[in-house]
Amino acid sequence: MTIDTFISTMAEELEIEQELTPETVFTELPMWSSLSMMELIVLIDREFHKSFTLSQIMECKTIQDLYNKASA
Amino acid sequence: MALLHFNGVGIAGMAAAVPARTVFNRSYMTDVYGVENVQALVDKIGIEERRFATEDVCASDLCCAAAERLLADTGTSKEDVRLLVFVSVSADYKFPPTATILQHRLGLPASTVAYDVTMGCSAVLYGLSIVYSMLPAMGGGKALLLIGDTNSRIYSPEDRTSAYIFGDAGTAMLIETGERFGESHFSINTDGSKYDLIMAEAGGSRHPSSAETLVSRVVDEHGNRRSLEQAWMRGGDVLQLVIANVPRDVRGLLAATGTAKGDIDYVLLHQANSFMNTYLAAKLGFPAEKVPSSIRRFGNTGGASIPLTMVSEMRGILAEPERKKILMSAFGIGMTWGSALLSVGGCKVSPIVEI
Repeated sequence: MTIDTFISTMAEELEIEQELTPETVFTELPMWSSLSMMELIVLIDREFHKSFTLSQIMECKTIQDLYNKASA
Repeated sequence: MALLHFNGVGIAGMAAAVPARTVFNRSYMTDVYGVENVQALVDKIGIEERRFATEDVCASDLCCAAAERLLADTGTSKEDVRLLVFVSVSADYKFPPTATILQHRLGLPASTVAYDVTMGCSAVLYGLSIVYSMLPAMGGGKALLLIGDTNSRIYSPEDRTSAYIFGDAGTAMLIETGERFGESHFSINTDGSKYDLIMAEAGGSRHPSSAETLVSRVVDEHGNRRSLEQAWMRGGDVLQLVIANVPRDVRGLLAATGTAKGDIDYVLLHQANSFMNTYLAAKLGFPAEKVPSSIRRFGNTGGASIPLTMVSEMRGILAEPERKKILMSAFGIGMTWGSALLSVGGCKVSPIVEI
């Protein structure tokens, strides 16, 4: 999965209306909630076969950081 | 994974009781959380309705009503019940055990072995494996396994992370010994390092109840409120633990028992929430039609959720004489998780009792 596909999948599944870029700090998005975090955990598990804890996700600041960690 | 194997013991009958009081999630607490936020949350978790017990009704009352119905509908003589196990986190008192009170209330003989087991959402695996172990050791016969909770009183309605999830229910299973029940297999796992993912911190011996532990306070940047005696659930990390461990555990149990996925007729998952269960079923590789669900009508009833789903969604199926191969998978406080392979058939299932 490329970073572009990751961003578009994330936007679709988490129903994010804002324009996302690799530099977007995802936890600062206006609609971000604990539910968004759950959706992200499932998305990463399904696409990258990695199950991240909340703190592992919180260690990432931008979408690029998250993508790098998930695809590592 | 700890594997347990049983032969000649199984579920002969089932019943469930829920409070008559129904809470409709789409209109619940909308003044606090906002109508749109609530609709979005309900869409995601798939829980439309839940049952909340009135203040005077305890988990034991729900289980007692279910057990009375079960004994009547199966024509079971009270004198024949030799073992009663009550699995719950909603005991009547700190002590004595609720099971001993239920032995009396149900009119069971003094020869009954009765005790409580403290366990939450994985209760059915613990309850069944304990009863399946003990009953043959007692020379066989009949046992009652009662699982129930009043979750509506455990969590804070002002904490959005749990306010829309949990409901109340009490279930009763009649367990018997006999050749017809065939084999069953259980896998059970524990990770106590994650004991604080779902927890009620105060009110026990480590943090005794005090004026301070009863005060509701803001606990996060979202303004969620709860007291130290009300439970919390770290949903994200529970989800992570479940999706990381449950599929592996199920694969392990299937491999250890030489069972193919195609041999399984139905999969019963602990009814956590639709979002998690839909993903879990897909990851396990079972189509939705093989995975009965009661989450929409009853929410997450904790340990009772699997037996309640069997009663509410599978009455006719379980009554059929040809036995069905059922895979159960449950996970919850402890943290604990596990799975079971059972064959169920000719099982007398009563309609749901409302009290």
